[in-house]
Amino acid sequence: MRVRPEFEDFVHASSARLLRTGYLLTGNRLDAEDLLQTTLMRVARHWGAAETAPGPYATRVLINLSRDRARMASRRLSEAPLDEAGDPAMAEDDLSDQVARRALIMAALAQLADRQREVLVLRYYADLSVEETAAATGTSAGTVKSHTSRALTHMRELLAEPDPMEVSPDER
Amino acid sequence: MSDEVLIEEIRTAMRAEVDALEVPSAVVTRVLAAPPRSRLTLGWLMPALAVGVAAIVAVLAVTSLGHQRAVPHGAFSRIPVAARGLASQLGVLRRAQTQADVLPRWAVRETESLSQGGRVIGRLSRLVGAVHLGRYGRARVYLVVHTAQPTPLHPNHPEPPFLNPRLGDQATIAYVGPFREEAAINGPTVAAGGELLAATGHGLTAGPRQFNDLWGAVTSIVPDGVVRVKWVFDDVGAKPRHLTVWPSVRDNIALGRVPPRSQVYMSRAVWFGANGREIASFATPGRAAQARRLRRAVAASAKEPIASALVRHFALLRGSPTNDASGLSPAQVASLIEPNPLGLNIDQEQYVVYSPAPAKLFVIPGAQGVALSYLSPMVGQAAGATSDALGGSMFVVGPRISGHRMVIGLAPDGNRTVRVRLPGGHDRLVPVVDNVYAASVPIAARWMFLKNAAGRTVRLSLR
Repeated sequence: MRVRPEFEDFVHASSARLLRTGYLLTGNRLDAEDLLQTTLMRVARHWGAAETAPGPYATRVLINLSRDRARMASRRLSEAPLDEAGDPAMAEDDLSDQVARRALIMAALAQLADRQREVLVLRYYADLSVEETAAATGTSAGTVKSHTSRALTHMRELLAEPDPMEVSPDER
Repeated sequence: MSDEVLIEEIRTAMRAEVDALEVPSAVVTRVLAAPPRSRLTLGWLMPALAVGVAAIVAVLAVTSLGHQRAVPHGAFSRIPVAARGLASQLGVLRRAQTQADVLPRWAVRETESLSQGGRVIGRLSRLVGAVHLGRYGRARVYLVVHTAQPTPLHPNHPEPPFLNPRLGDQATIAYVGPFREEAAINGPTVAAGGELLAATGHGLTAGPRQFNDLWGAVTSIVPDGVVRVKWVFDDVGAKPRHLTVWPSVRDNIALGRVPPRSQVYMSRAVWFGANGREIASFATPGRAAQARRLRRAVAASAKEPIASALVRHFALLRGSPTNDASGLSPAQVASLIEPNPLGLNIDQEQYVVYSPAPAKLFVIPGAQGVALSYLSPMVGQAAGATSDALGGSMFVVGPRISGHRMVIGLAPDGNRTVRVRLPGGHDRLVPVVDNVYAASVPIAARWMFLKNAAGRTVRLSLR
C-alpha cells in the first residue's frame, strides 16, 4: 500500500521531536517509543483532520496518550516518589557535575504534577508559545501560565533543598 | 535564582537529556506501513482494522520482548563478551559512555580492592545520579561492572534472587565524594532486589567520616522493565516501626531515602513493570528479628571494658574512637560479636588509614582481645586474644596474588618498623603507623620480626 508522501515527510521530520518530548513526559525511553508509535498511528488514521497542521495535532495526541498512560499507572500504584535533590552550592565546573546536576533537574521534573511537567516540556523543550501550549494541552492560556509559574516554583524548591525523608508509616 | 536562569537550566538539561535519543527505524517502518487517509469510509475499514491489530500486536510484542527490543543492533559489539549477559538486562550499560561516566581512577582502585580481585570494566561505568549527604554535600552514584565475580562480602546473605549470578559479571554501585579520594562501595549488587543494598550502613566505606551510611540514601540496581520499586523496611531503632519507601527509578537504579543513621532492615522489595504489573518481589523474613538480636549484642558490647594491657601498649587505643558501629556493616558486626568470647567493644573501634600500603581497617578492642576488620586492599576479619596482640602475633596474611601476599597486622608501641626477611636474605622495613602495618610481600618471604610489648624482638612465621 502506498504511503502519502506528505505523511512520510511528516514522520521523518517530526519523529525525533515527538520521541524526545515523549521521553521528557514519561522519563522512560521504552514508554516514549510506544507513545511515538501510537501517536503516529493515530495521526495516520486521522490524516484527513491532521494534514493541515500535523505537528500540533500530533503533539496533542502525544499529550493525551501520555495522560492515559499516567492514569493507567496511577490505578495500580499510589506512588510518592521522592527523588534526590542536589546542593547548588556544591556545583563545580567539571563535566560529571554537570551531568549530576542534569540528573537532579530531570529527577525534579519527574516529581512535578503531570500538567506542570507538560507545560515545562512544551514551552521550554518544544519551544511552543503559551497559546500553542494551550492548544496542545486543551487548556486556556491563563491556565498554561499558572501551571508554568507553579512548576517553576516547585522546581526551584526541589533543586534548592534536599527532599524530606521519603518515608511513610507502613499501612500494612 | 531568577526565573530566566532556572528556565535556561531546565531547557539545557532537557535538551542534553534527549539529544542522543534516536527514533528506532522499526517504529518508522511500522508506522509507514499504515496508510493515512482523508476520511473514514467503508473502504478504509478493513485496512484500519488491520493497522489497529498490527499496532496491538506490535505493542504486545514490545511488551513481551521487554528489554530485548531496546537493544540496538551493534551496541553489543562494544560490550565485552563476558558482560553482555548483564548488559542485556541493564539498559544503561547499552548506551554510549560519556566522559562524565568514567569512574575516577582512584575510585576504580577502591572498587577493585573491595571486590577482592574483581576487575572494573572501565568502559561500562555509568554516572547514574547523585545523592545528597546532608552536611557532607553530595556524592555521585556510579554503576560499575566487574569482569570477575567478587567474593561475597556478606556471606550470610542469601543467593541473588533475580539476576543470574553466573553471568560472569557483577554490577556494583559506587558512591564517589564528596571528599576527595573517599568512596563507599557496595558489595555484590547482583542481588538487586534483596537486602544487600537495602539498608544503610551496608556499604563498605573507604573513608573515615561515616560516609558509608550515605545519610540515609538507599540504592539498588533494577533490571530493564522495572519502572517502580517498593521497599518495606523494619526500623529496629528506638521507635520500632515499618517504613515504606517508593524510590525513584532511573537508569536501572532505584534511589530512595530512609532517616539518616536509622537502623533499618529491608523486609520486602517489590518490582513493578509498566502499568503497575508486579514483576518480582523479594522477602527477607527474619531479618528484623536478627537485627534486634544484633542490636542487643551491640548494646552489650558497648559495656565491655577494654583490657588495660591493650590500652597500655597500643597508643592507638588510647585515643578517642574514630568511628562507631555504623562504620561496619551489620554482617561484619554480627560476625565479630555474635557471640563475643573476646568481649569486643564495638563502640571503641578505631578506623585506621595506613597510607604507605595503602590499607584501611578497623581495630576493635575488647576485654580479652582485639579484632581487625580490614576493608582494603583485601576484605576480611580476624580476632585474637590480648596475649596475641601483646606478643606481636596479631596479623593476617592474604591470598596469593601475582606472586605476593598482603600482610596486615598490629604492632605494640615501640615498633617504628616491622622487618620482613626477603628470599635473598635481606630485610625490608615496613613502617608502623598507628600501631598498624601492612605490606605486600613476596610469597617466598618466610619470616617477619617485630618487638613484642615487653620490648623483645620476636620472629614470626609468614607461612
